[in-house]
Amino acid sequence: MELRKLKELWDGSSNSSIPINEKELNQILNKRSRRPIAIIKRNLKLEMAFGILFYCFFIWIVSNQAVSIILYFDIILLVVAGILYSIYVFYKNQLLNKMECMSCEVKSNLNLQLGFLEKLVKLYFKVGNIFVLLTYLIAGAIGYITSESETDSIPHYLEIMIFITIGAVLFLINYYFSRWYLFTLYGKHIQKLKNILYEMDESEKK
Amino acid sequence: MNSDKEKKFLRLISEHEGLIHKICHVYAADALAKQDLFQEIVIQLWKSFENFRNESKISTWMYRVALNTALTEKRRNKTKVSISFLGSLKDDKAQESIVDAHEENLNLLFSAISKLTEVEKAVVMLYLDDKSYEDMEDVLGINQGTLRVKMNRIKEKLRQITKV
Repeated sequence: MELRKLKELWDGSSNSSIPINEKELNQILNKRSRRPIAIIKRNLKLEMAFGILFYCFFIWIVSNQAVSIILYFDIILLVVAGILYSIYVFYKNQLLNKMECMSCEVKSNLNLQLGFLEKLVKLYFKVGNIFVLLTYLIAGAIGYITSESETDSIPHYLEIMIFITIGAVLFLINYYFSRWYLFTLYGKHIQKLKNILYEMDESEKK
Repeated sequence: MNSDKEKKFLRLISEHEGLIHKICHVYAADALAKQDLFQEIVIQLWKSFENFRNESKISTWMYRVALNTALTEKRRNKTKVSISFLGSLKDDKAQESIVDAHEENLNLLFSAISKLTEVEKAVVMLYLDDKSYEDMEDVLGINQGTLRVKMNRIKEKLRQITKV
């Protein structure tokens, strides 16, 4: 088929569509977007809600504790955790807001999305691993402080060895699980963006 | 929702609805996927509408938003050859109409385009819409030299596909 013929066909191809009316437009605009970034934004809100819920729960636990050195330790921990979590949410939200420019040139938008998505995945990965490590260390420290008065049934060095071994195993499990999980969530989309961008640049590089 | 703004937007969508439909037919496989993509494009156009300052042509802006949406859309189904172009976004009433030569040719055209890559689809759509290479560069961000090379390859590909 000649290109002229294709153009003629193309020009006539939109005639069959039924015009959209105001009611339908409203229905569409009230729907939730299914775009990957819109889903990540919704997930962040859910994550925040869970974070706040957990935080309130820990405040309630701490407020019921008797005054002791542990209480001060817990208060400091709560404040530090609250500050760190707020920074994390703020930074992630900023990343998501800057992640796309739908009215920009397609190539620059895809580049932007790819760059920010890779940053987001790295942030998720680092924060997840650091969180698990810190939680484990803090739990160990609390356990150590509270069990000091008790009589030791196993030698001190063995306790430390067991603590380190369990920590290392937990860290490795979390490390590989996070990698798999993040790849499942974002890996395909990142690869798709890379492929499209590679194709766009293909002839320029040759 | 500002009704004045909404009316303005509705008018804009109605005037350029064909453009959105074409993108849906090229990038989505079945009626459900087309409907999803159509809705998603309209949502994204609405979100970007507020920031539209007439600095670029309306069609350029619409093409940018629509293609950015189509290329990064998470699809429910894997894209396959679109069989019937008359698979309307509203319902299947149009499918009841008699298949004529024109429709067959349309099917052939969309079937051929569906065999192209995501980027080639975008380039050929703009080309078939009589956009200049300057306009195409403005929409896609690919330089004109590269676009010309791509277009020559696409023409050859389409020629091969439609020859069969």
